[in-house]
Amino acid sequence: MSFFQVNGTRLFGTVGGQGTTPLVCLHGLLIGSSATWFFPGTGYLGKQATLYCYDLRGHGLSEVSPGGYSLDSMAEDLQGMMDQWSLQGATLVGHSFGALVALKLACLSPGRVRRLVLVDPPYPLSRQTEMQQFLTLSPADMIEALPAALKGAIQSGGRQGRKLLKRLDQLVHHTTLLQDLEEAGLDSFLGLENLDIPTLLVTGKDSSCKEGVLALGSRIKGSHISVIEGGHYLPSDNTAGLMAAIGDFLDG
Amino acid sequence: MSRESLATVGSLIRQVIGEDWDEADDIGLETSFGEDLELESIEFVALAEKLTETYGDAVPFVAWLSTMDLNQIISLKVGDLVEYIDQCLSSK
Repeated sequence: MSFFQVNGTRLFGTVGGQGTTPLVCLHGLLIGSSATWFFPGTGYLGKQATLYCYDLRGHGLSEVSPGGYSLDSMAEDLQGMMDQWSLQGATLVGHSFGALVALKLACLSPGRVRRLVLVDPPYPLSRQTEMQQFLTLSPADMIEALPAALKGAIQSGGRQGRKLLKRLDQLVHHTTLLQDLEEAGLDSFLGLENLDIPTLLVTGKDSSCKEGVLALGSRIKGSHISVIEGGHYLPSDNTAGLMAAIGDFLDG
Repeated sequence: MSRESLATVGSLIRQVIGEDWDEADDIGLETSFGEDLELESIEFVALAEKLTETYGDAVPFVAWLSTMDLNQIISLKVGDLVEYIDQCLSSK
């Protein structure tokens, strides 16, 4: 199993695909993991790219550290994983909060980022308030807001559901995740207007983040925006459409 | 299908499931990854790593799974994986 010690935390990462373009893939908060990108990504993009997928701290097989969930800290983790994989530069592909982490690294260290693929980021930062609100919901309401497959797993009372609830409880009650998100300031993306990195933004027609994604696109010069069928969970809502959009962008 | 491959797969699945593993549960050819084992998607990633560590390039598990969507993966049975491993090993 491939674990890496990064910024004092044990992170899990895995690599798939045989293509020449390195993609570092980041998942969303809470219910995401390296699996978000690993299987669909290697299948659809594995001929043109090599996918480097890892679990953000507190997620998947990575350690649940008590702190370090700010965008800055998560961007340091990303850079640390790229160092571990000896990637001086790569295309960053992020879903939801993972897209914001990718964008943060692009602002801090643009030399490490060749291209950006931002899939339905919760932007502007006020969108994160909705995420915080999600975390404060009653368990029943929280379950109701999840994608259908996960909702079913929890409602069945099986092992998957129990593990997910345990992980949510750990993250919400035993880490600084909420506090770190609340402290994210308006200057989180300083230098955004000066970015000169080819960028693709993808959003779902039915996503509550769509307007924010369009606004973000207007702030990144030369960016391309793709609106496809689906909601916020595009990697599972519309796998084929999302992968086609990314594949076309990589070819372009 | 070979008993050796089934024993290896069963052992790797138990490692992946870890402390949640119920000793009373047998893993057989008809055991499904989704309904019976309730394997999470991240556990499939972990299983892929362990299969690669065990069989190397001889059994390209990730490439095999990559041809399926998530619903197909979840509905897989242990026997499907054992059969795939046997096919890969016999074609070497």
